[in-house]
Amino acid sequence: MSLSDPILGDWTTPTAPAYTDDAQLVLLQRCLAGEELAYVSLYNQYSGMVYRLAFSLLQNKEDAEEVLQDSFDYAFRSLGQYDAQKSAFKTWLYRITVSRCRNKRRRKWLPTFSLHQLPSWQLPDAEAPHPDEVAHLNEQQRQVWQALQTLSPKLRETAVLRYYAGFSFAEIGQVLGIPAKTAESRMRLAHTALRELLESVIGDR
Amino acid sequence: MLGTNNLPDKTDDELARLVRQTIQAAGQPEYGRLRQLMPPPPNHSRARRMMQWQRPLTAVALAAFLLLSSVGLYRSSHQWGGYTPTLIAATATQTTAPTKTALPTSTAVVQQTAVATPAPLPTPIAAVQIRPSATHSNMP
Repeated sequence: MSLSDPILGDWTTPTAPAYTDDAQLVLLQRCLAGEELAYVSLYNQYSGMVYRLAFSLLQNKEDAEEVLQDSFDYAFRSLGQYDAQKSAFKTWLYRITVSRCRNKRRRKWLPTFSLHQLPSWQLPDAEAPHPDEVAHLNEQQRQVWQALQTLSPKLRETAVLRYYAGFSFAEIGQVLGIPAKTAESRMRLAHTALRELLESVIGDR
Repeated sequence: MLGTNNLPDKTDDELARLVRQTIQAAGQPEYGRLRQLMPPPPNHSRARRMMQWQRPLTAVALAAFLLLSSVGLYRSSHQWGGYTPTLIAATATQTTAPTKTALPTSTAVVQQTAVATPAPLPTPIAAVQIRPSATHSNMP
């Protein structure tokens, strides 16, 4: 099944998720058997990706670190509940991470501020990224980063899962808890928005 | 990766590359930071092994507790001196009759007490001295 789009042309069918391979299953079984080194190996394999996913969704290092810890803490404790027949381990782990990022964003949406700030009504902007955190990026990367921040959280999630994690629409749907079709339409919107925002960057190349 | 679901639009590939590079560059944690953040692994196997041998042990322990507590209750009920509720009721019935017969005795005790109480001494009115001068002064 394929979908045609006047702008983007044919969108290929989302493939079946790449379920956990044998090596991964063995590693998970070693974890469940209580082998500490297996946990370390699992963590080393995925912590970087989970951290970057959280950081790109939250734009805050401290929040991303907290989400990373929470996600792995939950994943380690709930490893017995993971079903390799339903999804890939990466998909399951990303689902946990995205859920925690949403919780974190929701909590930050209600800003906490000191009473001294009340007269001036200068509430802290929870969404604003810390300037030092992306200071090392070059100009082009900074523009891409800014463009990602411009997207709504839902579109940002979809775009990051698609472009960074390389997930199919079915996998994005599994991670976000939405149908694959919805993931596809969100991706279409995110793509259009990013293309407009980064027109100069893409045109330079 | 994207090869399975590639969009025909070339900008999609370009965007994917740019976003991937940017996120890789932006989300670079400090060296050793991720290792510090690793949560302690839970001990699944120990928990499961505990569960396996704990189940029969728990049942045996529960049965032993019930047995011991019932034996203890039985023994403690006999340590009261063999008084069962039936015996206590019988004792109560037996003590009712003597109480009725003892009533006169108790009345006698009350009378004795009244007798034994010493009578109050008469008020010594005669001992009061009346001054004759004061009596006369009131007279016309």
